[in-house]
Amino acid sequence: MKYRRFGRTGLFVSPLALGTIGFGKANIGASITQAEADRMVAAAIDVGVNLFDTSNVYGGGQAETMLSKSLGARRKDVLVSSKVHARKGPGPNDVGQSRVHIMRALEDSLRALGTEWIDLYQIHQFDPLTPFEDLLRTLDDAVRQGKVRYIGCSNLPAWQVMKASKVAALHGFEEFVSVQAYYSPAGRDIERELVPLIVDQGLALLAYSPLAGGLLTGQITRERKPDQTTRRGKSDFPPVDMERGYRLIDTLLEIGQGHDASVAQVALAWLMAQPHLSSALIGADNLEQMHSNLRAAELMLAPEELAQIEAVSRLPREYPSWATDLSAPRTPLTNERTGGAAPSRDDLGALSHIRICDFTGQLAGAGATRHLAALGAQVIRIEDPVNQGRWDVLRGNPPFKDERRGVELGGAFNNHNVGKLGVTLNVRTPRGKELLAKLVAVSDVVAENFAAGVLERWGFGYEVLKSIRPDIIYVSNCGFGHEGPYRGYKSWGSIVQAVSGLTSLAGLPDLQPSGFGYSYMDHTGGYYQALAILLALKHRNRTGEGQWVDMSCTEGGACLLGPAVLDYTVNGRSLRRPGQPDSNHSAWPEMAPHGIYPAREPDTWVAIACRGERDWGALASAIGEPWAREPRFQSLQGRLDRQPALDELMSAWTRQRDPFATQALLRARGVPAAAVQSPAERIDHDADTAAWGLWPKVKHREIGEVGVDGMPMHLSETDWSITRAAPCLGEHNEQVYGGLLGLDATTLASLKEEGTI
Amino acid sequence: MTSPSALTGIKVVELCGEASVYAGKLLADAGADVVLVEPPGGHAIRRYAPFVDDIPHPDRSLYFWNYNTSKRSMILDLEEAEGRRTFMRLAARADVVVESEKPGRLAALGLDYRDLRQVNPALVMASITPFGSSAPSAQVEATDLTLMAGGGMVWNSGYDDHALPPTRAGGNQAYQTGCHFAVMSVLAALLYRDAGGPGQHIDVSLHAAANVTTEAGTYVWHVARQTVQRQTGRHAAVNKSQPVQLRCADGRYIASGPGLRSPRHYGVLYDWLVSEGLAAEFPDAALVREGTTLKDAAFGGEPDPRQAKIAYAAREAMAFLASRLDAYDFFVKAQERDFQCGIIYTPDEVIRDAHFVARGFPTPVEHPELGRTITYPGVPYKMHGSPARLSRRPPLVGEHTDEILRELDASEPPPA
Repeated sequence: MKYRRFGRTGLFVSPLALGTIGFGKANIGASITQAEADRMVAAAIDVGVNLFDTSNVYGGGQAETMLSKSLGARRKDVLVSSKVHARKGPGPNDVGQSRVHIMRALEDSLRALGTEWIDLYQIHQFDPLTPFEDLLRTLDDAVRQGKVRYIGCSNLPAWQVMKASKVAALHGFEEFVSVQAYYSPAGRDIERELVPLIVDQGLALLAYSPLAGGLLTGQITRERKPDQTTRRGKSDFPPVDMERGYRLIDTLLEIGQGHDASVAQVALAWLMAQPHLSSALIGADNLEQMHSNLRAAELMLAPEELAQIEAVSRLPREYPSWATDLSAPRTPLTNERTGGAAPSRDDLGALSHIRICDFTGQLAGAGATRHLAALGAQVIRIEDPVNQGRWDVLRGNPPFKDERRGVELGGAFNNHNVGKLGVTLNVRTPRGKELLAKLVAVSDVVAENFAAGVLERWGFGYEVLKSIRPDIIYVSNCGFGHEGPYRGYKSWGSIVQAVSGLTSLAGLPDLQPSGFGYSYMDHTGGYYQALAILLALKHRNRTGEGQWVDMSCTEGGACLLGPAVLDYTVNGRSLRRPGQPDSNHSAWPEMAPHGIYPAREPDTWVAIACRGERDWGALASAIGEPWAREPRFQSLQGRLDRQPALDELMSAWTRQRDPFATQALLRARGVPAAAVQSPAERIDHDADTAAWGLWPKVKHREIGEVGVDGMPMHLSETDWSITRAAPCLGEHNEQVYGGLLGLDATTLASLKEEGTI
Repeated sequence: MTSPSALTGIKVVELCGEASVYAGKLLADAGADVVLVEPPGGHAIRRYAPFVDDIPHPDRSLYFWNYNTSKRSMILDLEEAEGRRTFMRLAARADVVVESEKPGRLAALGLDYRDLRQVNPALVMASITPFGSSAPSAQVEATDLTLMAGGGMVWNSGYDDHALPPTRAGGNQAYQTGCHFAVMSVLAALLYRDAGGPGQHIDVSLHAAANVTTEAGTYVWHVARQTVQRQTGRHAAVNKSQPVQLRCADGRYIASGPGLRSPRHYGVLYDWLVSEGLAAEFPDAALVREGTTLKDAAFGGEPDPRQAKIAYAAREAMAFLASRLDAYDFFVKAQERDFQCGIIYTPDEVIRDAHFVARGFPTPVEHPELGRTITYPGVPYKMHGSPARLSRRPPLVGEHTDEILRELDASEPPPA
C-alpha cells in the first residue's frame, strides 16, 4: 500500500484505514463479534493498514476495548485514533468538551484501549458551550502529559476549524492537525469550504462513510432499492438525494465492469484519487467485505473514468465559487505553508526529489529549468546582487504591465522563471564562493547558459563542481558550445537559428528567408537543456555517476532539419537553389493544395493542407465551384504540376469568407485547416487552450496577477503545477541560506551587510 | 570502449506515427531499446520523399531514415487479433509506450492506456495528439502546417509587406516541439518511477505545445495586452524595428545582432573598415569613429543628441562591409571582433561547417545493404558521461520482427 502524508505532521498513513463503528453492539449497521474483529484487524495490518479509528461511544462503548484486544502487542506498530464528546452517562457533565469531561473521558479511553497514549485524539463535534480557549488548553495539556500525540476534529464547519487554529496559534496551544468528515462520491459537501481549508492549512483529511452509509456497497441499484434488510433501508445516514445516488451508481457499475471491480471498489478508488485525502475509513461488516474494500487500493481509475464520475457527482455551482472560478486557472491546489508543495504525496511533482542550482537566464536557459520546476524540481535561481541580477537582461525589460518599469517588473522574466526560488549571491567574493560550494554540495544539478567559460572563470568549472560533489550533473548551454572553433562566439536566438540552418527553411520562393520571427531556438535550446538534465539524472540513478553535458544550441537546431541534410549528404541536393525557400508548400510529404491563403479581411489568413485524394474530394465538395472538379486537379501529380494556378484559385475561394468560417467548414469535412490565429484569438478565445488550462495565472509581488505559459502535457499521476510567480531579487535568501544551508540570522545579516547576498 | 548511453536498459514500444516519430528517435539515440511497430508493408512515412538517388522505396526514404536511427522495426497488424496480442505482450515488458494515433483508435482496439496498465502498472505511456486526447477538438484532423498556424508560430513569421502571407518554417517544427515535451514528460515519469512512484499516462497536445513556443507573441499579450506583428527576418514586435539581415557579396545573408553594445565597439568597427581597405570608400567612416566618444551613459541612459546619427552610420557600415565580403568571411570576422551575428546557412552548409565538424556533429552511419556510409546530423547534447549517439542505421521494413518475437518468447515463462 502506498502511504500518504498525514497533513503537515510528517506521519504517513495508509490510504485506507479501518473504522470500528461496528465493533460490539451496533449503533448502526452490523454487530461485529470479538472473533471477527480479531480476524479483521490482523488481516488489515497484514496488508499494510496502519491507522485504526474508534471512539468512546462506538459499539455501545465496547469498540475501544475490542480494538485493544484485537491489536494486542501490535498496538505499537500502528496508529490509533479515538474521539470524545458524546454522552457517556446520565449526569450533566457526562457529555461535551468541558475540561472535566474530557479529562475523565480520556483516562477512560486510555484504560479501555489498554494503551498509554492515543495517537490522534479528536473532538467528535462542535460544543457550543465550551470556548475554544478552554478546549484547546485541555487538549494541549493532554499532549504535554504524553497521553495524546496529535489532536484533531470531526464534523466541524470550516470557519470553526480556522477559528480554533487562530486561537491555538495565539496562545501557543497544540493545533488540530486533521479533520475527519463525511466524504464520498455521493456526498462531496466538504469540497465547498472544508477541502480548500484543508489544502491551504496543510491539514490531514480522514474520510468517513466513504460508501455513503451502505449506499455504494453494490447491493443497492436503481432496480434493487434499499429495504429493511440493508443498512441503507434502516436509516438515511448520511442523507442522500436518491435520484442523484442512482445516477452515480449506474456510472460506478459501468466503470467497475471494465475493471472487474465492485461499485464499492470504484467509489473508494475515486476517493483515493482525490489528492487532498489522507485516508478513507472503511467500516466493513465482516472480514470478507473488508478484504473486498481493501482491494480498492490496487484499483487505479483512468482520467476519463474520473471525469465520468465527476460529471455525475460534482456539486452544483454555488456562490462564491462560480464568481472566483471565472478567473481561476486550472492548476492543482497547493499549500502556501509548505512553500508550494502540496499536502499529499500524490500531489507532489515527478521531480520533487531533485534540486537544481540554477545560473540560467533569458529564455534558452531559464526556459529549461522553468519546465523542471513545473514538474516539481526545487530550482534555486542565483542572481548577482551587484548588478541586481541583470546578467539576465529580461529582468528589467519590457513588456511591462501597466507600463510600470523596473528590475522586478520584466514580463518575459516572470514568464520564464515561474516556480523558482530566487537568491542573490556575489560569487566573485570569497564568502560568496564558500556559500556557492555549500549550495552545490546539496544540489543534484548545476545548470547555466553563460557564454563559454564564465563559470570556469569564477572558479566553478566542472572539475571544481565535481570535487565538491562527485555525482554532480553540470549542464552548460550556449550558442556554440564550450568546445570547437566558434567557442567564443556570441549568439542569441536569431543567430542560432541562422547558423543551424533553420532560418533558411522559412520563406516564400526566391525572397530572402523570413525566418521564424522569434527565438524558436531559445525555447527549443531550453527544451534540450531540460532533456539533457533529465537524461543525466537517469544515468546517475543507474550508475551513481554525474557528468558534464556540453550543449550547443546550434547543434540542437541542426537536429531539426534532418531530411534536408540527408538530401544533401545522400543526393548532393542543396536548398540553395531557385524557387527556395518555399516553406508554405510541403515537399516532404508532397501535398497540394498546401498553403496559407488570404481570408476576407486584409491580413487575415487560413492554412489548409490537403493530404491526399480523400481530402481533395472533401475539399472540392466544400469549394463547390466547377474548377475544383476539373480533371487536371484530380491527381496529386496534377495538382503539384499546377501549384501556382491552384493556389490562385484557392485564394480566390478563401477570400470570400472569414478564416474561422473556412476552418469550421473544412474541419467538419475532415480536412486539416486552421485560421492563422493572433495572440488574442489563441489565448482568450480558443476552446482547446482554455479546456487544457494552458494559461495559468500567477500573482507576482510587484507585477500583480498575470497569465503565463502553461505546459502542453498532462501527467496522470504527477501533473505539472505553475502557481508561483518568478522570484524577486533575493526573495528566498532566508529560506535557502537559513532553512536549507542552516545559516543563522546573524551570519545572514553580515552577508547582506557586506554585499555577498 | 564506449560508455553506455543514458537510457541503457529502457525498453520503448513506439507505435509508428508522423507526429511522434521524433520522440522515439530522441529516446533511441539516448540509448533506449526502441521497437518501432509498423503496419504490414511498413508505415506510410516510408513513402515520403526524399529518397536515396530519388528512387522511391520503403527502405530508401530519407525522411524515414532521419527519424528512425537507433530503432528496430517490427511489423504488427493491429487490425488482427494476433497482432494486438503481440502488441500487448510487448507493452507488458516495456518501460515506455509512445503513440500518436487518433484519439479513440487504441481504445477501440483494446490497446489504450487503461488496457495496457492492466498488464503493466509501471508503464509510462505518452500519447501525442493534435489537441490532446479529451480536448474539444480531439477528433479534428491536423497537419504540421495547420498546427503551426493555429498555435501561434505562423503569426510571428513572414515579411514587412503584409500583402504577402505569413510563413511557417519547414521541417515539422510543430510535431518536433510536441515530441520535445513528450520526451521531457517520459523522462520525468521514469525518474518518478525510480523514486518509487507508479507508471502513468502522458497526454501531449501539439496545439498547446506550439502555443507555448511562440515567445513574445504570447507574453506580450499576457502582460501588456499588445499584439506583435511580423517583420522580415526578425522578431515580430509591437513597434517596427530596424532590418537585421545583411546581403553579402556572394548573395548569401547574415543575421546581424542588435546595435553596437559599447563605444569601444565603434572603434573596433572603424578599424575593421580600415583593415579591409574600405574606410576611404565608406562615406560615414568618420561618424563611426566618432562613436568611440559617445558616453557609456548613452547606452541605456541619458540620450546623446548624436547617438541616432552615429548608430545609423554604424548600421550602414556593417551593410557596406557585408556588400564587399562573402558571408562566411563576414561572419567569422565579425564574431572575432565581438559583433554578434550569424551566417544564414542552408542545411547542407551546416553539415559541412568547420565548427560542427570539429565537434563531431556530422555522424557517419553505415548502410551495408547499400554499401554506403551516410552522414547524418548528430545529437543535440554532448553528454560526456553517457553519450547519446546514433547506435544503428534506421531499420528496413520489419527487419527485426522475428528477432523481437524470439526475445518475447524467451522473456516469458512457458505456459504451464
